[in-house]
Amino acid sequence: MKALLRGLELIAALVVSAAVAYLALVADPLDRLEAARERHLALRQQYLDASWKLANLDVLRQQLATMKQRQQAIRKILPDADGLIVGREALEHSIRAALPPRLAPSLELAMGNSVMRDFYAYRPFSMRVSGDFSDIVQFLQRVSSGSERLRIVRQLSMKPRSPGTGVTLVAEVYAFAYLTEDAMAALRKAQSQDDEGKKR
Amino acid sequence: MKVHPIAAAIGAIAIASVLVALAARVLITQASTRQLAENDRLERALGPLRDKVGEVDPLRGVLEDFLARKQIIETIAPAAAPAAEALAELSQLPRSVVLKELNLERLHLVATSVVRRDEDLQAVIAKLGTSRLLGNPRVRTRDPKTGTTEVEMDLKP
Repeated sequence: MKALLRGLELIAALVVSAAVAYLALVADPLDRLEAARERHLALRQQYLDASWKLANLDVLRQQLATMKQRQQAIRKILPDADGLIVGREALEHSIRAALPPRLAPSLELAMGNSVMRDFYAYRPFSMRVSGDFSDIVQFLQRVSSGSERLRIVRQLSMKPRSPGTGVTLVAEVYAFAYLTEDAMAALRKAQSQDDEGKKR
Repeated sequence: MKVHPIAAAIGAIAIASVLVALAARVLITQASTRQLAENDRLERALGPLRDKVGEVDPLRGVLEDFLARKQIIETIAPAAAPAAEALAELSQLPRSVVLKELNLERLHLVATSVVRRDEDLQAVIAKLGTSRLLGNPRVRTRDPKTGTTEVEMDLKP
């Protein structure tokens, strides 16, 4: 029994002294070695990526030029939101720009509030305009499906005015815009600050 | 001075642990130094390489931005009714049809018109049935006395 106790004492002493020696002398340099190895792996990957890019530089230059053109085109269809909303003034300006001059006096525009979704925002707006059928169709085409910008006609009604004076169009339309990474990051930051404020 | 054998054994274990740990520390420090030197060499080699290829670095961001917008457009666009084109097409109907009113709700269009004769109505339905933009035209209501007829149809996005 006594021999067993001595054995246990010796084992305990071995474990404790090994742990203390490890923590005092080995742990810190080992962490530094691990960090240096991780850095090496990252640098190696960067080197391989850069070497691959260098070998394909001409092709990548062409791709970049092509993608920039396509990005410009798609930005016209789904432009950046003005912060986290679809800008009221820019939207109104683009609608008025699409209006044939003869319809200008009769246009009535009403803007709804901008609504935010995961990666985009939209603003509903309604318009009422009177004039010749062909002018109205042309205007509607510019504002909706023929527009460079993504728009959805949600509801529309067209009725004749008094005989010989054309038609009146009433339409509810959605205009869309893209929420950039920066805008979303700002929103997330504001929300987390708001959450923290509520917890306090 | 007489030392208890257990105490002597514990002391020996402690000294041995420290010596082993010191030896390990020396080896690890040497490996770290070698690794840091290798990292320095790699970083120096990377510098000029980065300068040469830096001009194409924005490609990834441009591509991601393009794909994100494309995905949104592809999600939303199917709900976009070709309203203007559909109205233009309805304006091409025969003179025997007098268009009175149009109502569009998303992809569902109701056209109210005056069509006196049944055969004219059938011709209109047949014509709308062949349209690229309009589908499934059908009569919703018809007043045989006045000829006022509501025709409903679906818009093809």
